[in-house]
Amino acid sequence: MLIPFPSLFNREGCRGEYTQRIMLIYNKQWLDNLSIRKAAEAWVKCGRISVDEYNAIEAKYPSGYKPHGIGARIGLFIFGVIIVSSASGLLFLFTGFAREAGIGIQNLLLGIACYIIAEHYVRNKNQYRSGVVDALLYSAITAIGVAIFIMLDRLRDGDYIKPEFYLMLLIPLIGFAAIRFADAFLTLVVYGLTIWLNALLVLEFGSVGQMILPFECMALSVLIYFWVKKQKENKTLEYYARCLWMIEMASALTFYLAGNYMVVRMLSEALLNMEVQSGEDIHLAFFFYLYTIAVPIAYIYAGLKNKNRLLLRLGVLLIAAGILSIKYYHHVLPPETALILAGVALVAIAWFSIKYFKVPRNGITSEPDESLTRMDAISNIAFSELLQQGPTPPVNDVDFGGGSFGGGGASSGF
Amino acid sequence: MKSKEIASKLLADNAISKESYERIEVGRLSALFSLNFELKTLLYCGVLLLSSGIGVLVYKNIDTIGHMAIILFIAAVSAACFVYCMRKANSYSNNKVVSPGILFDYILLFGCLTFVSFLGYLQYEYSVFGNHNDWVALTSALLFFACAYYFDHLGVLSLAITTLATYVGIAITPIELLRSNDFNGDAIIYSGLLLGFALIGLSWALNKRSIKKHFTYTYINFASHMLFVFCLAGLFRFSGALFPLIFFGLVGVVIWQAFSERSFYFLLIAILYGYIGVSYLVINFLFMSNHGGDAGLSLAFLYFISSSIGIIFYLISCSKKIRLTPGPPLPVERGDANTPNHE
Repeated sequence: MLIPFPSLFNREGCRGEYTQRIMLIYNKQWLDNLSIRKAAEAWVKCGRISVDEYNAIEAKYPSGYKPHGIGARIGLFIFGVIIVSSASGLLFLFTGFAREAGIGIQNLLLGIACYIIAEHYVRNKNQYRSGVVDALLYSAITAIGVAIFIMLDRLRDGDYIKPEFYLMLLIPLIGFAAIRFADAFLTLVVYGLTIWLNALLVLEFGSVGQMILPFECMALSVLIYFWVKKQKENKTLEYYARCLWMIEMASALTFYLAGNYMVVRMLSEALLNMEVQSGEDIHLAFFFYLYTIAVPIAYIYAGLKNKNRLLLRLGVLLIAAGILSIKYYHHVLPPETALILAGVALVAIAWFSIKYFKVPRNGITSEPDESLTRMDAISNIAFSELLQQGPTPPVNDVDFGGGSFGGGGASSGF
Repeated sequence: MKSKEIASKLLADNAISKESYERIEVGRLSALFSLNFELKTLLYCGVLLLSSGIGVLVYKNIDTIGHMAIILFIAAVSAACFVYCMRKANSYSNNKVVSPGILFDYILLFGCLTFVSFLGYLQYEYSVFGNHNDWVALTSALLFFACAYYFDHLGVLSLAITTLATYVGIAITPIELLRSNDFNGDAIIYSGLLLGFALIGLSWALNKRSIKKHFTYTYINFASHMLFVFCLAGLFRFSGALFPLIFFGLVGVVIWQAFSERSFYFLLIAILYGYIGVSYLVINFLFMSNHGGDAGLSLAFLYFISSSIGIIFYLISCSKKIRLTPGPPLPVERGDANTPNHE
């Protein structure tokens, strides 16, 4: 088949793993080796493999990517953004703010330049998850998005251009960047825009659309959620774990928001231009009240049952959001009583759970994660001394338990 | 790759022995689903809601019939928390003492928070400290410091430091108000700097005597933010050479400290605050000398571009250096979930 920009694509791309072979910018061998090295480091720290084995693995699986710690990444991102915005400021200063069309073209050129530099950094400078590339990529997308908006605005002939049209142009653009750079944040943006586009399209159907919007959005979220769950097992998407996690989270969130009482009420007030009089309520109010509280509880239940931390945490956050959104419309209790009751309930639940799960039940425990504790137990220095001393006797699982070391330990991050 | 695949791949490549592979698999399969972090967070939120609810309750019921009962109840709750902690606590040591349990930490925190409500109420209603409203903060701070050291609790230590800062703030404000009717006055800046240096001095002295060495990080963290913020405020406010000198000295010391403790976090805050200070001076100079013309603006953009490029290279080289050189470990606890950080 004809590939428009052959240099963008990996040469050995074969049809079987078509999409990701073609798209992913990173060297897969290096990514594999990176995750091997990371796993080996965790294992040697908790004594599962010997130091000799660890050293051999380090030598055998080299990776050109040396990801920075989170601190360096944040710093690099901030200064990357400063550079790009100053550069664009300089550009505008030299060319003058003369005409609108000119600004559009400048933005387009700036965006393309940023994108090319981002590609260059990844492909030739072996940057992986470094803040500079993130800054360049996000700036490129923002600039190109603004450029498209300005140009569309120029093109219109007195008419109003529908946002759907703009979204349809934007989604493939950001989607391309998200897939090529396997970027979780951009994935989230694409998901959000898709849901927005979907809502706009449904609303095209007039009053029927307004009626079914919450249910259609729920259905879409469920479909996407289970599709992503299935894709997690897909071998060809293994480098997209972060992106898939993001979609999983976002779809569980939109499934809830689609039926949240406050969201539904605000949307129906805005779309139907109706005022909810006191003593009245929105259509199907009872269903939405129930949904606002029951869905988070279902998330918590499912999270505990399937040991899915994402659903569990989301459920806890959403139940708070649910109570607040109902309280926004119905003031049942004075604030101090509500605060005290909520506090007592939280403390009681936490207290009970800590006692109940002290002894592991169904594989759930309230004690700190043993593997994490043991990893923390040996701080970096002890670890590097360990490496210099040579082999150590295998540490068995009980010795380091107990968590007497607590957190701490220097990581490369901070 | 998932860890299971990695383990099998390593075994197939003969990179690990059969025994290691089995240890990995046993560890993976026997791993429990730990709710520790989630439960601690819930407990922490519950304690915060409860103590703020109590605060609001007292505030709303001042001068009503029930207030005496409420205040006695709060005093009883606070006292009960402290008694519980005294009975449960492990004996004091200059080193890190293991907390007797998750609940213990939060009961202590709750006792401290209710104590503030109690003391504040006493002062408001009975003026136990006379005209010195600030003494409420000072007394609380002293109690919190004592608790933090006695029970070895980083969260209460953070609370103590912030309460102390509140004391300094309250104590300064009336003087300032009388003198110049200005809240952002010079006295606040000087006292903030003084407090920052005092905290650093205190942590240094205690560190030398090996008393609770793991508290040093919290002290330095608070103190460096405080010093940076007040130095910047001084830099913006006064034109002399004094504040730039203190400021750049501070940036240098924190960067040096960051390298000696291999902490990228301190390096990052030093660079960020430092960049704000330098940029302020440069922009100020450019616009002063160009009267805000286009040339000044272009030069400013050029300054931002070139300086940021320089800092990016510096950050990358530091990141490598800090990652590669083994140095002494951080002598610190970096606020783990056990010890909620207070603003």
